[in-house]
Amino acid sequence: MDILEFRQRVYANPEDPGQEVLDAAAENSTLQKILDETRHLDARIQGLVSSIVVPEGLKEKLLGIPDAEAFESEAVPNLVDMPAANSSFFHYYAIAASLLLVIGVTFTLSFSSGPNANEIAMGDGVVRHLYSEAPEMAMVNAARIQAIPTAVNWEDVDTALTGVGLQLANSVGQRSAVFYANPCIIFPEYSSAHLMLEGSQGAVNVFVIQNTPVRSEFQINDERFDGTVVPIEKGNLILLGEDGENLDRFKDLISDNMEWVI
Amino acid sequence: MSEEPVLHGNTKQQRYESLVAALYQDVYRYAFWLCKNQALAEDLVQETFLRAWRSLESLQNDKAAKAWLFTILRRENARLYERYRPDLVDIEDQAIAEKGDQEPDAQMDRELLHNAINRLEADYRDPLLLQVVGGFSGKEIADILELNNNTVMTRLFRARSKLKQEFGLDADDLAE
Repeated sequence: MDILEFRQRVYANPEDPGQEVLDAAAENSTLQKILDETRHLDARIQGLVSSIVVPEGLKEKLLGIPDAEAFESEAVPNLVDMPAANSSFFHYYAIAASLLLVIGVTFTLSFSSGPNANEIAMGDGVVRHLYSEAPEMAMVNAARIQAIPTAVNWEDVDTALTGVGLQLANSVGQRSAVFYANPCIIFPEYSSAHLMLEGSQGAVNVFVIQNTPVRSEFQINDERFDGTVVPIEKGNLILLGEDGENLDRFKDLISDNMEWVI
Repeated sequence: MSEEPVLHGNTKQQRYESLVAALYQDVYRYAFWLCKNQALAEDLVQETFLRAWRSLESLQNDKAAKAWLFTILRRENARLYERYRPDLVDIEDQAIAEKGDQEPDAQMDRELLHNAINRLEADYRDPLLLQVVGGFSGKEIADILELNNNTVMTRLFRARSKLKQEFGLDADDLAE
């Protein structure tokens, strides 16, 4: 067995490389050293991972899942029929937790430096919603490329934003054409509005959702869109543009010109 | 791995409780490596065990419980988080225990190792952690990652090659 084959077999599985490898190591100190070093490396990795602190109370929360499920199926049977994203554990766990006095989730989340699962799920919902409006986006993008003036009346912008209690200064329309403005339903329990503005890479989607503001701004993206979720006074401002769009400009444009009317 | 069955008891509830007791720490630690964030990892583990509870009847072979859970975990991670790349900090320092009895050199060694593993591409890091941390066999890793066994073996070889190269081990005779 040459050293390359020996190394391949040891590196692929140092704990169980096969008797042939072990025999070779026993006869050659250099090979034995390679085997020992590799096993030592694995032991160090195991030590590192075992030093990850498992949060206190996690086991109890996991053990409480069957009760939460039982509660859910008895108390909120209609949730079973909801789409996957809405029937997520986090929705009804929150309900069950209030009765079961399972505390600690909020406490744990306070340590987070990034978005929590609910916040990420919200971003996920917005992206999904945007894909459902792909035809509208395609129309806006086509009009933009062909320089067809299809900007909406500002009254439509006002109407779209009324549902979320927001008003946007019409000077925004002078700095970026608004091609689309409608109230929309992203999450049935929250009012939302959707605008499409003219960006450098295509339509820039501006969503306002009247839900709990996220704890801090975070980025979202997928293979097509770049986005950002920005907490605002009474909800969240979500901007999604085509890859490479400068969203900061639109964030400032909206943030600096909006006013709560409710 | 294929070791002792971890599920005990006759009722679904008992089997679930034994599953939690036996594996929740391993599952959390692996989730933490995937998420690099304590709160996300905890949510991910809860989602994983929720799905495990719902489909516990589908687990035919108790010996495969760990691989089954890790597969659920990876799918949930992909569904919930992988699509996004929020600006998470590197693995939170406070989540790695600092053992008071350790020498400063040992602490530094762990940090170096931790950073080196994080620098590995996910293609290499994933099978390595599944093998070292999860204790899975090559075939089990292949099943979890939906790869063939040879690919897994190659990636394991490369993962350790890169780590050893980084730490100056076998520097005189690197295989790649």
